[in-house]
Amino acid sequence: MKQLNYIVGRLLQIIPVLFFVTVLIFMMIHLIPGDPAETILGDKATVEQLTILRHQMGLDRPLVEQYLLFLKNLGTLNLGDSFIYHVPVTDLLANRVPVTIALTIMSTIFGALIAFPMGYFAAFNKDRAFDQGVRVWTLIALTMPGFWIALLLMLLFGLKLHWFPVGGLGEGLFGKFYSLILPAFTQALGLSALWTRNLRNNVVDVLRMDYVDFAKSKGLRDRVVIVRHVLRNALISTVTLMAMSFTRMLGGSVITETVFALPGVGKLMVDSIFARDYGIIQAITFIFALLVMVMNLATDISYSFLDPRVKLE
Amino acid sequence: MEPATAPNAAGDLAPAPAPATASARVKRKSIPFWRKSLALNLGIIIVAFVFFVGFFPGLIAPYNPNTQNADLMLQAPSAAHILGTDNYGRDILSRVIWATRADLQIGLIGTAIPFVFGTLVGLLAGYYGGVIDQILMRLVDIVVAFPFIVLVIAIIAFLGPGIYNLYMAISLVGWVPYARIIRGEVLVAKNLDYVSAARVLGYSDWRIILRHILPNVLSSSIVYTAADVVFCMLAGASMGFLGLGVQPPTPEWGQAISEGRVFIARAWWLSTFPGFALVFVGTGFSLLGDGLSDLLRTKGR
Repeated sequence: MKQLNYIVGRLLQIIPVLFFVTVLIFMMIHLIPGDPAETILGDKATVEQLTILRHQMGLDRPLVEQYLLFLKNLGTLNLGDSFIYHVPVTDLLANRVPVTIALTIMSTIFGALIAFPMGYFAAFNKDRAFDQGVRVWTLIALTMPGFWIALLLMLLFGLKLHWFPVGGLGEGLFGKFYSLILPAFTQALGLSALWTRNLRNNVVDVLRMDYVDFAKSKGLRDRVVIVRHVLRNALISTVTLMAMSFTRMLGGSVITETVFALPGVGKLMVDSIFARDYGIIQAITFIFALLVMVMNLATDISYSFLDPRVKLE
Repeated sequence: MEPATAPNAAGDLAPAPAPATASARVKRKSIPFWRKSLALNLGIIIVAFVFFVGFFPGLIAPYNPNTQNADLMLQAPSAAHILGTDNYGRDILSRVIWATRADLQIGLIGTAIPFVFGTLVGLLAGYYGGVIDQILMRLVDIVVAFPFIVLVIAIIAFLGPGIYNLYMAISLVGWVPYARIIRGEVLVAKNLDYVSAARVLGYSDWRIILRHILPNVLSSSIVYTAADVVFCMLAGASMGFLGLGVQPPTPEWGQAISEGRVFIARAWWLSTFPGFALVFVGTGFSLLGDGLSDLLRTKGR
């Protein structure tokens, strides 16, 4: 029952944020220096063309009316046609959002596969060579730009060893999965460093706890102590950090998709900038915000089940 | 006030006279800061070196970074051109060295403006609370509803590419962590005795905020700036890579990596070396940040 109250309250909290997010995205069109219609059509546009486009974009109406129109279009998914692909934006996005989400999920799994063993063994070998090595690695990995790693991986595994495709999305389920391996690994490297560091410190802290000594002195086997008492407690905060990293992972996908020529929303956003397709940029910015808000909501709600003490702020 | 009895070196309580505490204090002070943290030392050395390169690239670079030479296109690393040459025959080492200026600038300006603005927001929200706090914190909620890089890209998309719009975008987005850190610290500090005392003395709000609270809440956000420099530099390089940041011919690492992309199969050195420069500088600032937080922690104990 308490959980239900929490969930309802948390959902209500989203409404004002969602409203202002749409206001912010709407206002972006007015960041364009000068007249948006002139910027889109270029110098050669005639006065008639400008007037027509201004009318189409609703720029000749009062600001509030413009906003309501924007909201209506966003809500009814009536986003017009893409300048680049000449198909409805909605169809384009429907094909591309799954690619970005698949990339993000795969990156998270790869990141966990790298971070969990590394952080765990580093903690159990605290201050020994392995721990020092992990420390140096995480320090460096956190400063490596994703697009650079992407190029180096592409060079090594794509061009030299021919293990993976250099870019693009493969055919069929396996082909798609296969072509996402290198991009996902790219994204996983940087974030796994953050997670490794966090897990290592958590395990070190938990190992100092009295309840671990107590569990050992009860005569429990080492494996039971580690799995049930140490790992379980150390992982809670790392998993929270991983959920928070979701936002960064989504942001990174813009760059990773561009380097690997993956047809996701991130690449579409970058392509649309150069095509001056402002409508798509607004729609994609909104989709990213929506994904972040849904993920944060899911994290908070699942957390309320894990730890019944959480309260609404 | 020092208690009359203080634990001595052995750790047991003895009726220690005042001189013992005094000498203990002197002893603790006499450990110079550079012996406390290896990370800090390394960080300071690297960052100082990077600043030197950023301010005087001409003293170190062997060639002019913009001199093109059609006879020397895409030369592999050699004795004359240690890191090779690019598709215009320009010396890569010289370009990497000159690019330090642009990237360091992005890191520093991209940190400084949000630091000032975020600190101000945090101070106001934390000190006044109530409606002001509500409004400012909802603003924070809106900004954090977007991935950092997506909001930066979106703003630049509408403002147009270029270095000044990059600063504008980072400034609009990057103040949030500072506002959050400072607000949290102010909430604690404003109830401490010295602040109450200042209020009783009838000082103005601004005097209390700036003279009494600010100096005591700054340390954790200063530690955060070191990580933020790395973060902004990477964001700036990413924008350069996408063609939305520093525009050619001004050398910038992200843009250089992007230019080398086309030639990656036959001339790996174009994209590889600017990346190492980013990692080197980033590691320097990260070490500095780690060292500063080590120092802060030992001070706290």
